[in-house]
Amino acid sequence: MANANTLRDSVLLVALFAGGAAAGAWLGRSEAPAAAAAAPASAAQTAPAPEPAPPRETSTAAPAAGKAANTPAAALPPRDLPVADYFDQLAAQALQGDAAAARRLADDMAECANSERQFDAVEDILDRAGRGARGAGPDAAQERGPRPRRGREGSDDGLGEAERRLQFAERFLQRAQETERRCAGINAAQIARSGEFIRAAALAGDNAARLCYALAPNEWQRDLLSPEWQDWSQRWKSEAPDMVRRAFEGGLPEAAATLSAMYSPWQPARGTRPWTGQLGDQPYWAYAYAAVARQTLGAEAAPRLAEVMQQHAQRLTPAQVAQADAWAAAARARIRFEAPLPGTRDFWRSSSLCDGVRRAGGRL
Amino acid sequence: MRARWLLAAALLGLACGYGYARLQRPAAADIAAAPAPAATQPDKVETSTTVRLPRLGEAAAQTLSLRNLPHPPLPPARPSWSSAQDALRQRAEAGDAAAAREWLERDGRCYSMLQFGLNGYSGDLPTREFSRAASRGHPRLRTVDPQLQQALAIGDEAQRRQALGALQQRLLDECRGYAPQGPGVRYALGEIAARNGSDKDFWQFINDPPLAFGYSRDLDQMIDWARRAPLMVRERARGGDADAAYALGMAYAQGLEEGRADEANSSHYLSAAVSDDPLQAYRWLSLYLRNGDGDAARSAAARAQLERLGGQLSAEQRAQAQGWQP
Repeated sequence: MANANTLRDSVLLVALFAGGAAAGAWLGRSEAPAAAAAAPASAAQTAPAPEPAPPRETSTAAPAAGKAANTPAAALPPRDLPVADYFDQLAAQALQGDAAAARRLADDMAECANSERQFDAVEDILDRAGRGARGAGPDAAQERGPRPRRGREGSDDGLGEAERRLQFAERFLQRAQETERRCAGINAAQIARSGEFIRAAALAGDNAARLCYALAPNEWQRDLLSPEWQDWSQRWKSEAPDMVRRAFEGGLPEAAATLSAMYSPWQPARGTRPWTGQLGDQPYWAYAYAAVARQTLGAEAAPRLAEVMQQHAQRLTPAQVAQADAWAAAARARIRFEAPLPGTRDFWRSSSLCDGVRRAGGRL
Repeated sequence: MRARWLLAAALLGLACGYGYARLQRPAAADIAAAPAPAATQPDKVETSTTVRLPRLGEAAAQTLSLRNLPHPPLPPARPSWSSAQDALRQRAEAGDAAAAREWLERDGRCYSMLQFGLNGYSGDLPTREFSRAASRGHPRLRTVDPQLQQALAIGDEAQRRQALGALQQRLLDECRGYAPQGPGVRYALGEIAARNGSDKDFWQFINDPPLAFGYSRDLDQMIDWARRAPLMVRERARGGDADAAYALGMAYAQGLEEGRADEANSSHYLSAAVSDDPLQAYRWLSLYLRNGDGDAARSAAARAQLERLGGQLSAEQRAQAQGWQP
């Protein structure tokens, strides 16, 4: 009899706990949206096209990403070491949520994957230099058309175009040889893990990796069309927009320009970024993010961004422009933005794919 | 005492349930800190028309058919740069393969001519860029117009220039105001042509898909193609089409890079879209040789592959594959 009472009490306890849990869950669910809706009401009145919030960090976290904040990152090996010497160690750290280790391996694997391309690029530069030298007569000058405007690289130092190309090829060759040396012993299976590493770095909180993962999916999974690529791409599609938003919230100024482009209508023009229009045609947000980009990307980018803002402003009411400006100012106050990546003057020095992608993301 | 325990259990359950539910949702503070309200999902604007297709795993491939797959979505029709193109699109959407093909060809021509516009040039045609690109066999101009090769074949230089100039003028007239359409339109019309058109249209879609590979803007179309194309070829092969059996056999036998190096196999992209599978390759290539289309080069390539693949299979598997019927 005593056993029967104990059993009955236990059942009752479980039933009451379950009932309480169900009621609690209902309360929790019903309260959250109300709070969420109340917070940004003022913005919604003038912002015609609202934007989704970045999800909580936990929603797409990598298996061990939660450790990232608590696990102090180990010092990275020096850049000049062969990658094979530290691959296994960094791979293990990356899988434990070490953003820096994951980012480093992603960069290294991208560099190793491009090793052959670097030598091809040198050959291409040498070919052009050769053609330039052969075609240096007046006819060739006419054929080339107007002399292109010189960048900072091409200051008038008395060097001919062909010689400049040769110097450039030499620098490029040095870099290609260095890459070849660093990547000795790295196999295709290790290179194929570059996507895993950039995603791990992104999920573990590396801002540049977030943007890099979000903007260049096919650089990280190069086995195009394969069943593995299909799965990769499907997952990338669901994650990429939030990654850019997180990069923005994390203070990456190039992400502001990227988001502006993502909210701009796609134009069939040369140089249009693949991510243009990815979030639809929303001039309000295109303008607002461009406003942040103009304040954070530096003086060099400012004129172009001002032009972009003007284009978007033409499709907005003055009240909307004022609201978007206020939103941009609030974002500037709320987010501590990093300095933008320096320009492309010395791009050949950097072998980081992510640096290139980040610069591309910052251009409109 | 008993009542206290029961009350404690109920309260504990309540607290756990509430906490769990809140953890599943963003907190109000998180949302307030976000840039703006979340009444809509703008990121669905471009991608909402994408239908998730099943992957062509081998088990799935045995049971899937094209009939289970929705056609690629066509973005809403809006007036484009050309009313003639819009009329073609309308006919194509109603299933007219010839109209779809014509739309694609014209779009391709005008896209190729984008870089050979006049840009303020007002002299005689052909422009130097067009003339040089044509004579050097620029990839964009290689298939732009059948008259190009005729013009290039003219021996007399003045007459050749005149013919090239007339061709460039005609193409520029045809493409005045051209603006490329989004990738969804081109891809969907290509699929319509492949589905309703000739064998040539079908293989055009398989061997030269109407999308830009590697360009992340075309990702939706790439995913769709990677899942759809193997099923399209499989359906043909099951119907007794020797070309399709050969293409499938070679696709299962090798990846993209190998496929590119093989002159006898033009289905490079198909090779990339299916996993290497020696048994499937052996089956389809055996079937191809049994039903043979008499093409000596392809038969030799198929035999060479069978010999290579045979080493990866048991005697029993080889015997079964040789008599296999799809």
